[in-house]
Amino acid sequence: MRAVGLVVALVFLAAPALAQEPVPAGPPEPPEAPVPAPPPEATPPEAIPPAGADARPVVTLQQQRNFDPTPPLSLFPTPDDALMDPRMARSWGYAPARWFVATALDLGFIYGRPRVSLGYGKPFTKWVGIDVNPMFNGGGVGVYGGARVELPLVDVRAGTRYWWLFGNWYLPIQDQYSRLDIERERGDKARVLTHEAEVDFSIPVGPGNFLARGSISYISNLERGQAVFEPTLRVIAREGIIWRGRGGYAVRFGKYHQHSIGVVADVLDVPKREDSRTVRVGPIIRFVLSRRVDLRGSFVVTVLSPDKIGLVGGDFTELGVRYRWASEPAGKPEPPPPAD
Amino acid sequence: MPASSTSRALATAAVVLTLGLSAGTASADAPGTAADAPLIDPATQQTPIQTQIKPPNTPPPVPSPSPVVLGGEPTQPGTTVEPLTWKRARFQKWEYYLTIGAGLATVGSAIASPLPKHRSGPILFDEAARKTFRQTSLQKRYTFRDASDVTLSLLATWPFFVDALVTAWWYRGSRDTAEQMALVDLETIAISGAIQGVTNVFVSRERPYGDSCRDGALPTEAFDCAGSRHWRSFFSGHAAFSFTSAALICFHHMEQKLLGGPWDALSCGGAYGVAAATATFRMVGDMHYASDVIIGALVGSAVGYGVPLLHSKHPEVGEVKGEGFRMRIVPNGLGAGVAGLF
Repeated sequence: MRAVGLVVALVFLAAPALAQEPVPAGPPEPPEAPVPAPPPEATPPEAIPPAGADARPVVTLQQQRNFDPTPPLSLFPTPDDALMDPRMARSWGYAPARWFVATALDLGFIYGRPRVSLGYGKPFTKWVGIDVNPMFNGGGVGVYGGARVELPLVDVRAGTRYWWLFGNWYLPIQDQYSRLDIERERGDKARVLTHEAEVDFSIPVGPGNFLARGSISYISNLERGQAVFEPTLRVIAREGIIWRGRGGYAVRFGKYHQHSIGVVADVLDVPKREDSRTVRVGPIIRFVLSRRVDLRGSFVVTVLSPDKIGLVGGDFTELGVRYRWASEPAGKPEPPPPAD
Repeated sequence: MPASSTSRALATAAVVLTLGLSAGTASADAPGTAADAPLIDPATQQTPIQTQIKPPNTPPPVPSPSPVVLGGEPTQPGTTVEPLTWKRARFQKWEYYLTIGAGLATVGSAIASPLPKHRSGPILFDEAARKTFRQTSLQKRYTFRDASDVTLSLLATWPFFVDALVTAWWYRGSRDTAEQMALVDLETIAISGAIQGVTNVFVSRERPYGDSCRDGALPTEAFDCAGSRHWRSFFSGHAAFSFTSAALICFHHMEQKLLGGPWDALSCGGAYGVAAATATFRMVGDMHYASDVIIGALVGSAVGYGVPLLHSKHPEVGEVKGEGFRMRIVPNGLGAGVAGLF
């Protein structure tokens, strides 16, 4: 059933790309959105490559000179930003390193994860600083805070997360748990304090990226004889360590190789629980619509676990949107490098 | 009603309506209003559209390359997609209030407890359908409930994330149409949620598994038995939201031809297939009777088509004008109402 749902979802997601067949250029209606006017000198005829030529954007010397001297600083895309970033080349990474404030807001059905980052460097690209990350979903509200170092191939963070759960209670110690065990009111509603360190790799290999993640977490606020459902890692654990590893591969596609689709596998273990190994596998997808907006989907379901808690135990964010924003340096930013 | 009360009511209606209509008539189908005014290119002292449309009265060509659709990348003539044009009345100011009000009603009814006078038991063909569809194993019932959550989630987000954001805004390069689609979608889903939530609270029907809570098959402290979840059977929110979304997907694909070719029909058929699966999963998971999901599907479809259709292509449709007065059909949280300006 889930597989059918996934196939349907992926077919629908792929439809816009598959539907890019030529449309006869009859008498079309005028574009309704203000279309950014190309600079008068932009893209001289000689710069237009012949049909079938490399699809990379052409950035002429004149275009570099005309590069937007007043980058949009508004929170939302301005009309001339038009969501789709022309050339997909301008990014926060082109400006020099500086102090900055950045946000990333994940929204979906029904969850929200705004993240505020304060740091030095190039936001979302190469920086060091701190993250503060409030969270809410149907089961509770939480907050995460910690330090982070992001580099082009590796992302390292360490911090503490606290969840106030209004849909989960402390659990007794058992070998296995069923859905009914975690959907039962008993005693106090759970509060979960987790200290965590995580390292993420994304290494270009072939047509895509090899993805790897390792994390170690420590749940510190449980009493003896208590267990709890950790709502971020989505496993039932006692006080102590949880480790997690993820491996996968995502193929890049799109005119700018900006989209990706792939498969990942997670392995989690709670050393204090016997036979607690959990394995999850599933597809992930990312459509980059502009430098600000991504459409993301994660459908990683549990295939092996001592517990029978259903999709609650999966890393299942389904379809969601990520909106990013970062402060930009005053003055004229560096133009994007020309394509070859 | 005494004359003074009548005039007071009419005056109130006039104030409310003046706010709505003044905002609405200013923006409805009126390109060139302040909100739509294209930016002036300081280099040429022309709007971007003017820069590209020469001479006037000639159908403007699709920009090739379209800086929006193709990111400024040169492409072969005739291979670009056409931008979309919003073909209906534009979202108006009073609709923001309506959407917020319906959203609050949806959230409020989810928090409020159903009325203490409960209804229990099957009606009509409910029992026969339950025997046919219901899974006997509790674990399998949970699995189907999870599956219904997944399909609902996909359907509820699809009109916003895939149709409006990816297809209309990004792929077709039509920011304005995407915004209008998303606003109408939000309004429609909020109205559907309000109708479903309020009905839930007032009807207060026990879910099919209710007897399991009484006979001890489910522990009394289980979520399914404790609290108000137990009394929210009529009518199915999953079915209502799913069919509302399916109707919105069909409406936009068929009217806007978002993808063209067979893809629009496939989107519409696929959405209804997933919505039907969602409704069925709710019966298999023993969360609803057949009558709950059928009514949910009917209400969802009616709202899903009705609200976009009320955004008539011609704003004067549904409006009666006379000397000194103007009356208009407007959607509200429970369907449609009439508002007047005197």
